[in-house]
Amino acid sequence: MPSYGQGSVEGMDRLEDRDPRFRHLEKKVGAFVFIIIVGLMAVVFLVGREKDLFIKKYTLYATTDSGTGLIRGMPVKLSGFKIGRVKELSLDEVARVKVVIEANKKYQQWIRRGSVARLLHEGFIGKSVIEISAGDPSGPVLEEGDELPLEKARGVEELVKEMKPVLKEVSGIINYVNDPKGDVKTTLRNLKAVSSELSDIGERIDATLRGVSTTFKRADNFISMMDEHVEPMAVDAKAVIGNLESATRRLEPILDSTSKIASEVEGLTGRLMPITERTEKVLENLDALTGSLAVRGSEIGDMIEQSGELIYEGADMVRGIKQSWPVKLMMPPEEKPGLLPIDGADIVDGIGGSE
Amino acid sequence: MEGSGYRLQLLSFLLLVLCGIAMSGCGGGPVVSGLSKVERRVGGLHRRSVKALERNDYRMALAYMRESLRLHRSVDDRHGEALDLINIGRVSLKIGRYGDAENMFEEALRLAVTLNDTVKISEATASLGKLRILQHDYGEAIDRLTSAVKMDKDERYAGLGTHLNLLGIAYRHSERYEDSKRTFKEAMEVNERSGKKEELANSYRNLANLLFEHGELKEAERRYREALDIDSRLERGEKIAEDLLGLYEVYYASEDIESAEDSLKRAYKVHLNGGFYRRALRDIDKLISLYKTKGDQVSVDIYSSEKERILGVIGGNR
Repeated sequence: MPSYGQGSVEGMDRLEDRDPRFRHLEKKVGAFVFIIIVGLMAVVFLVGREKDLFIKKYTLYATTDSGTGLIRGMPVKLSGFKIGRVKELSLDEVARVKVVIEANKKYQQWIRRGSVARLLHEGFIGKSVIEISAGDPSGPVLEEGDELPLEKARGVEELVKEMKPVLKEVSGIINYVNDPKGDVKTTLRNLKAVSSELSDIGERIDATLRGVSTTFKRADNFISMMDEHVEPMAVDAKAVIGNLESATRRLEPILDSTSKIASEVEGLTGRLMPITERTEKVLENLDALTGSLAVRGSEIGDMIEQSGELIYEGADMVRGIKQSWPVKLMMPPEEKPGLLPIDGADIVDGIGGSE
Repeated sequence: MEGSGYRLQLLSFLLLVLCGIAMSGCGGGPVVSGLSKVERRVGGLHRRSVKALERNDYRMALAYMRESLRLHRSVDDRHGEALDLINIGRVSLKIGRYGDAENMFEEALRLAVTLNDTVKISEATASLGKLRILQHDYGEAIDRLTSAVKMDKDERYAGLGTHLNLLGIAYRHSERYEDSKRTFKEAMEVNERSGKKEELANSYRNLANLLFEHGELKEAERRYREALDIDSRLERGEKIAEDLLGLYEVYYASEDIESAEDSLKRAYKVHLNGGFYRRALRDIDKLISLYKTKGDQVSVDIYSSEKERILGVIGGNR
C-alpha cells in the first residue's frame, strides 16, 4: 500500500529550506511584533501624556448644601484652564454634598488659602464647570486633603426666579393703572374736570377785569372833569365806590374757587407721589433686568455660534461613521455639487421649458 | 483604589487607540478630516437647491445657489464659483430671466477660460447657445453649440449628446433640414451609447418634430412612440405630454381623428395632473376645436365648462 504524505517527501528538501523568503523567518516575525508593540506603546504614551494621565495629582475637598449641577467627572478650571476634574461626589453624615476634586499638582502653586471654588455654567446654558479662583499670593498653598469653600453662580433658573417678581410687579402696576376705579384713572378724571373748571374761571376773571377797566376809565374821566364839575363829582365818586364794591364782591367767589382748586391740586400731587415712587422702583428693576439681559444676550450669541460648530462637528462625526466600514457598505454614495442638467429638448412655451 | 482607576483609564485609551487605528485602516479616518466646512455647507446647499427645483421652487433654488456662490468666492474656490454661475444661469434661463442668465454664463465662461477648465467652457458655451435659441438668434446659437460639440468630442465629454440635441434644434429653426437630421441622429447614437435615457428620448422627440414638419408622418409617429416609451418608463410627466401632443399632431395630419383625440385627451390629463394649467387650457382649446369639427356638441359643452372650472381655480390669469 503506497504511503502518501511522509513517504513522498523523503529525500527531498523542505520548501522553507529552498525559498530564500523563509530565511530568518522567526527573526522577521519577532521584529515585526516588536515594532508593533513599541508603536502601540508609543501611541499610548503620547495620548496619555496629552491627556495628563501621567501627571501627578492631588486631592482637594469642597462641601455644599445641594448637589444640583454637580456631576462626577466635570472639569475643574483655574482662570479658564482645565486643571482637574470632580473625582467623586458623596453625602456626609449631615447630608451635605462632599465634592472630591482631583487637581494637577503643577497648578497647586496658585491654589492657596483664600481660593474659592465656584460652580458656574460655560455660556448661557453651557455645561457646568467648577472654577477655582487664585488665592492670596502671600497665603499658604493648599495641600492634599485641604478644603475649599464652594459657591454656586447664578444660572438661568436664578435669573428667571429674579425676573418673576419684577414681571409680577410690572403686571400689578399695569392693572393698577388700567383699573377704572383706581387712583390713576380717578385722578385723570379729576384733572379733566379741574381743567374745564379752570377754563370757566379764566373767562370769569376776564369779564371782571373788563369791568374794572371800564371803572378805571370812568374814574379817569371823572378826574379830568373834577375842576368844572365839583358837585357832580361827589355823585360820581359815590358811583365809583359802588362799582369798586361790586367788583370786590365779584372777586370773592373767584378767590374761593382758586383756593379750592389749589387744595385739589395739592391732594392730587399727594396721591401721585406713591405712584411715582413705585414707578421709579419698577424702572430701576427694569434697568437692572435690561443690563442682565444684555449680558446674557451676548452669551446667547456665543451659544448659537457654539451650537453651529457643534452641529457641524456632529455632522462630521455622522459622516465619518457613514464612511467607515461596514456602515459605508449600506450607504448610498455621497453626492458632490455638480452641474444641473441642461435639457436638450425643444423649447416649449417660449421659455426654457417651464410653465 | 486610585491605582485601579489609572489602569482602567489606560485600558480605555488603549482600546480607543486600537479602534482609531482600525477605523483609519478601514477608510474612516481620511473621510472625516477630508471635507472642509465650506465644502460641507456647499454640499448641503446643492442638495437643497436640487430638491427645490424638483418641487419647481425656483426662488429658493436660486437663493441656495447664490449662497453657495458666496461661499465659494469667500474661500476663493474658482472652479466652484464657475459651477455655481452656470447653475444660476440655467435656473434663470428656465424662468425666463434671460438677462441674468446671459451675465452668469458670460462670467462663468470667462472664469472657465482662465482656469482652462474645458468641461465648464463647454457647458457655459452650450448654455449660451441654448439662450440664443430662446432669443431666436439661431446663427449665434449654431456657432456656440458647434464650438461646445467640438470641445466635447476632443475631450470625450459626456455632455456631447445634449449639446448635439441643442445644435440640431438650432439647425431646425434655421431651416437647415439635412444638418438638423444628421445632428439628431448623431445625438441618438451618442446618447444610446452613453446610456443617457432622458437625452435619448429628447433626441427621438426632436427628430420626430423635424420629420413631422417635413411631412414624414409615419417616421415621425415611430420616433414619437420611441420617445413616449422612454419617457413613460422614466415617469417624466411633462415630456410624456409633449410626446402625446406630437402624436396628436401626426394623427390629426393623417386624418386619424380617433387616435388624435385619444392622444390629446391623455396629454390634457397629464398637464392637468402635473399642475401645468396653461398648457392644459391650450389642450382644452384644441379638444373643443376637434369636437366642433366632429359636430360633438355635448363634448364641446363638457370641455367648455371644464375650461371655466380651471380658469376659476387659477384665477383666469394663466
